Amino acid sequence: MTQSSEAHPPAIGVLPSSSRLSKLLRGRTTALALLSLALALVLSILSPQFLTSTNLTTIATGMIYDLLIASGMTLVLILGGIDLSVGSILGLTGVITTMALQDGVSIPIAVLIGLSVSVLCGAINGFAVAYLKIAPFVVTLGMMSIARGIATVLTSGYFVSGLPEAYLSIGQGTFLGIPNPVYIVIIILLSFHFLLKNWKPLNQAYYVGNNPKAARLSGIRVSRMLFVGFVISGLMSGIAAIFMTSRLAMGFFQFGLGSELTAIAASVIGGASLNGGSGNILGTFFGVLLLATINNGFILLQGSPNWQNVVSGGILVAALVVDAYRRRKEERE
Amino acid sequence: MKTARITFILVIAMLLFGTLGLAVAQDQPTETYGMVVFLRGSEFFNWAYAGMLDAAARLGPNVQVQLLGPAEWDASLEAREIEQLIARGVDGIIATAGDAQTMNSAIDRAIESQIPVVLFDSDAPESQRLAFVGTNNYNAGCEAGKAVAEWRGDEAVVGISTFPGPDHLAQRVQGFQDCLTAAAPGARVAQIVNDEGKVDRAEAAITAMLQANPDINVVFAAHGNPGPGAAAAVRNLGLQGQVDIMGFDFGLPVLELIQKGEIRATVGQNPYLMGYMSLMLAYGARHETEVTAGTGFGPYPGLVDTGVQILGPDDIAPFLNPPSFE
Repeated sequence: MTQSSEAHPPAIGVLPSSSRLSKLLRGRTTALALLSLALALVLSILSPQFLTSTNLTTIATGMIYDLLIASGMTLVLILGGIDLSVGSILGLTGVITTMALQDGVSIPIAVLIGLSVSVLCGAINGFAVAYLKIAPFVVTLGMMSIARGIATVLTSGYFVSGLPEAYLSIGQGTFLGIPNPVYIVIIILLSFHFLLKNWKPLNQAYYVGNNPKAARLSGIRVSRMLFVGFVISGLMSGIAAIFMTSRLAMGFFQFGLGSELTAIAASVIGGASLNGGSGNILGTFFGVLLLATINNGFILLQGSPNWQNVVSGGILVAALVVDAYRRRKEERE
Repeated sequence: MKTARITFILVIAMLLFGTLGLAVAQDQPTETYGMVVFLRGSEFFNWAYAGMLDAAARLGPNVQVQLLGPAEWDASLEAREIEQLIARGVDGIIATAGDAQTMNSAIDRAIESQIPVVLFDSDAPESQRLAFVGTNNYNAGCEAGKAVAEWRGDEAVVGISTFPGPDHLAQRVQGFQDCLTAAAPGARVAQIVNDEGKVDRAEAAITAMLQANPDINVVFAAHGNPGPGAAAAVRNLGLQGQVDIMGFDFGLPVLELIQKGEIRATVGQNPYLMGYMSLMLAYGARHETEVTAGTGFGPYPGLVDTGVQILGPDDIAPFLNPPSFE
């Protein structure tokens, strides 16, 4: 259950108490957590490999990119927008970072250049949506094409490889047998979740998404909020690019292709609404976990690869149906 | 004095013959052939253009070639390049179809304008192109299957990484399975996983596959992307030396992993021969003889398989520095 599950948006300028928010969040998120747990239980009975530490590490490692991108997407969805360019920004950031490394730029500077590119892309999206009032779908569709196009032109389809070992250790290094990015992503997500829930400037995103006009009248700087939302989304894609290129030891213009769909699916499964005003990072985490567990279970149970996408798509449709049902119920009330 | 006179006569004679030779060369009209690709600048198509340049050199100094096309994967821009070549009245077009449907009409217009069109690497079979020069994907998979049978014999237990949809991948997988079991009847394919065509997904999918099937001792990456993902999966599980990886194509990351010993070999296509043969066929079509004219015997077979080679650590050195063209 999320904020949008309330019959009416909260009075503008009056934030709900954190205890009430927690209660609201618990409903949907708890259901997802229980669903994931039930799935894990079934899989551990059907496949002895499922509950091994190696397999759980595999699932966690496979989630890191989606978790970052989906958390940025969740914020944008809460704000009532959508960001179709996240995958392309990932691809472009990865290409620019790895090309800088190939040209002998030091690792911190190359990473900084890459992240600056991702922030710039997010800022362009945010500026066009917040200040030029262009529909997010159109703006980010354009950025999706531009960023992928630049990444392609820069590399001509080449892989960018031969990266320094020290850079590879960012993604490939481990602590207690678990890849370092897993820890970093957990810290980022926990911080993001806490700030979105408790930090007023970020928490106002829910009001902007619920009713932008009312939010503006209540003194919330809606345009700035939207701008920041897209910048954060871009940055999350950039961080995912650093992890992906360092883990896979290459930059490639096709990295992140289709990631926007997974991110939207995970966010919506986690409770975000395409109409804005709802969603939370913990729910998105479980959305990503659910999709990753299904994919993993499919392989462990020797499922046909042809059915894998059908099942993942089916879960997304089910989440949308639940969301639509919930909204209709709210309207009736 | 006599010597000077002889020298003078020789110089005059040389000048005369030189001028005559130049006149004869000028009598031969220059022929222009264009190669249209997507992802212009990519190593694969640079190899193909190197083959085209060599073929042009064999055909003579009056055969000129040009490399054209967008740097991105955009078949509509390729179609536009073909239209421009038609307007210029070139003698032949060599192209690879970034998207068959998008390019069919441009190819057909070139043929209707009496310009031979030969496609390579990616076909547009519904167009009127004269010939297609490329890899027979069933045979490519077959070669990989035979190599794996040599490595592991009847003990081979294989996991395959691919994704559903493209016909050429299904053909590779089928060829692999048929030839593997023909060469080593005891060998088997334990599982096929969906890598969604992505390196990062391949790592997760292959890691899970190797856990679900601890007896797998070979991973076949049916396209260019899962090779590095397979290497990462084997690394994740500490199975180096126990699981062999057969990659596909010779992108630099795959070659680097072969150098490191993480990928045992890769299936190398032959883009050089694609470019070389395509120009030869287009030139043949432009120069019909009395025998071929009207008989349908034209010197351009409909399909040419340029074959593959299995590239191991000892074979990759020449591929580490692909040709480059601006």
